[in-house]
Amino acid sequence: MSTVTIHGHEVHDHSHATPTGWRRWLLSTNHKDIGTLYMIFALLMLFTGGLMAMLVRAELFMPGIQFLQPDLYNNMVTNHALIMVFGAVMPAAAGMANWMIPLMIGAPDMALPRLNNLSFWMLAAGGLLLICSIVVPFLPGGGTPVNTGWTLYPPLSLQVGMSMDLLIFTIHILGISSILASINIIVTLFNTRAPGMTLMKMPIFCWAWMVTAFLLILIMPALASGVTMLLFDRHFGTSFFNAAGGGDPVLFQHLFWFFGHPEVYVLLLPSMGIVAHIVPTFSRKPLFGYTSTVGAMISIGAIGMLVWAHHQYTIGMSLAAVTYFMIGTILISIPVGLMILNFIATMWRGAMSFETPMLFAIAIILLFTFAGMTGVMLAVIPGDIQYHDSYFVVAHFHYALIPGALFGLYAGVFFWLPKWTGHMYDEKLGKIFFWLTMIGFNLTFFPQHFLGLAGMPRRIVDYNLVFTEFNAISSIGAFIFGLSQILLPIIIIKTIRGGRKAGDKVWEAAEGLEWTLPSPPPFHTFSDPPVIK
Amino acid sequence: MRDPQPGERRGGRGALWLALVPATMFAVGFAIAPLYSLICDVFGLQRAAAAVPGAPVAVATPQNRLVTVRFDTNVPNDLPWDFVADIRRLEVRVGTLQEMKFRVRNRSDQSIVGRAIPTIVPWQAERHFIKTDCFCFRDQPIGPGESREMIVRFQVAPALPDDIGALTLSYTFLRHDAATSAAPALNLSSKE
Repeated sequence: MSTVTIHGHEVHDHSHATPTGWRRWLLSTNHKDIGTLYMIFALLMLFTGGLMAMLVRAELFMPGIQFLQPDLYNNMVTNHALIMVFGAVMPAAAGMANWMIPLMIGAPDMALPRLNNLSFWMLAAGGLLLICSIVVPFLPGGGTPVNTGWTLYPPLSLQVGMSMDLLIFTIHILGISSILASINIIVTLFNTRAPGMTLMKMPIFCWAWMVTAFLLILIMPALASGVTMLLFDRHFGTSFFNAAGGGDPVLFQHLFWFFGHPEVYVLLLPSMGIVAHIVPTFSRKPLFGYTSTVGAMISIGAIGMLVWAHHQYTIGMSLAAVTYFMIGTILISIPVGLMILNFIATMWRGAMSFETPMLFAIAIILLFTFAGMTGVMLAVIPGDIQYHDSYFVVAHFHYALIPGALFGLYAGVFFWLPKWTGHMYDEKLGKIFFWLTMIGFNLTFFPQHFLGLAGMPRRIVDYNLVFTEFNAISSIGAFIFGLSQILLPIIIIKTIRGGRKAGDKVWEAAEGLEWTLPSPPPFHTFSDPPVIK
Repeated sequence: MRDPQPGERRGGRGALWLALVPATMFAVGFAIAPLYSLICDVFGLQRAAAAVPGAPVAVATPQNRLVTVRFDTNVPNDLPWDFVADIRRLEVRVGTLQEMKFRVRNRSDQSIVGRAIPTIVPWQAERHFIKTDCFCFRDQPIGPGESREMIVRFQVAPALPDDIGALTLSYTFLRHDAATSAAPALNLSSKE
């Protein structure tokens, strides 16, 4: 029976002794501590992946090869993607799920706390393996770096050195980690809701994570089976992807994109869940169309599972197949549009105020809608065959994923940081961070649309002289974007160390169980379930 | 609604049931290629690998239609052979018999047996490309430093779909020594 003191709140832990020091973190089964670990990991990875992006943009500042050899350049492109997707966005979203879901549904913790600990530390192990895969080619006898792009297409991925094997194991470990985390979230959402909270009364962030978690347990194994076959082809003489042995490299593309396309929604949906909390709070109105937003999220997940081959229009599928994938893809714009319109209708005639989270939410609505437009352009077969593998695609998915996923997480950080730390963040710094981020981001990626339409191919270290100006603009934008991100950890650390005290209900119009708790919440919350009317 | 304390115990069972989902999806990943073939066969769909064995091809009177046939040769790293086509492309009249020569040289100081695997691109042309004789029908043993000419005789059937104006015949030579031929050899000749 121990007593812990956290930020002045005295809490009696009556179930088990709470470890202190490093044991508190390594052996943690507390959803808040694990959530914090997830987010620290994500922040470290965000800056690792960001550094790689800076290297790529520095190389592309001028035509010609300045300081990255082609193999290393392609390795940076590959690992930038893998680190951002698996290291930064997914763990940050999982961290917020860990922190907020039990608070939102009035549960004492996640349903399976030890599994929760396992999923985080497997993620950390996977991160370490990924770093090994990057470092190994620099050692003597280390072979070539992974230079395939994050899609890992054979036959190129069959020819890469041992760093590819390390990457395959990384994907296995990360896959298991996120499957375990997803199972935990689903079980938590079904079994530990407070009495009276029906599924359709659940906060929308929980619904977003419900869809995300189901997507994850359905798609991660497809990628795992694909990379396992890759491993067999590389070392055990099989020919899954080797045409000369009766296999087909296109099989890998199908397995990869069966994972890869829904993965986009895995990155997107938690952030949209966050936006769906922020917009009502700062418009001082309940969310317009709760039921239809839940329906839209489920439809996005369901249709998103069935349209993967729109990434592969150029492989020579039959006309019937590509037509199906085109129509399916365009159909997704209906639920996505519904969700966006619900957000806009929530703001309509609301008493709006523009704190940093709200600024990010509005930027997401604008910029993500723009990505949706270029997305429809890319879904159309004759168009896509023109734009395929060009910088237009790069511009499109950065407009989709940076606002759609990353900015949503930033908005969440600013929205919930006072709840997590008990202090208000510096609003002025937050606004400076927002505007610098917006300028940097748009300056980086908007010109890439033009580059792509003019025919600049992606994943190539050098480019034609005619593309010089737009690339220089894009690189300058990227440096502004990259440097301004340093403000984020500064703001977070400043908020942790002090600042104006935050009340229980941090924001004037915030709704939900999490705002009935003190800020920061005590180590154990809702040991006795609250009752929902 | 539900009480969270017993809920935790039920959570363990629910998690086990949910774990079946990824396990199934992992297995489906491996089963997807055979399942695809099965579904195509059941519903009679056209598919890429559908080389129709012994499909009767009407050899009509020669027509004036010309088709470009390109030749492509590949040798994997573990086979020390040079393998080149005499010419890279040929304009052929559909329905006429053609002969094409390839040259193979064994650079090593050992005798090696190889076997050539043919592929036709686009796949829709495969059933209309008829090989009457081919070096790929047999294992090809080549002595140390020996150089040999390889012959394929073929015709493009007039039934070739009109939208195909060019096709590629690609060969990959694979090592087929005693060590690698413990498994029964691919009997490609019966297919043609």
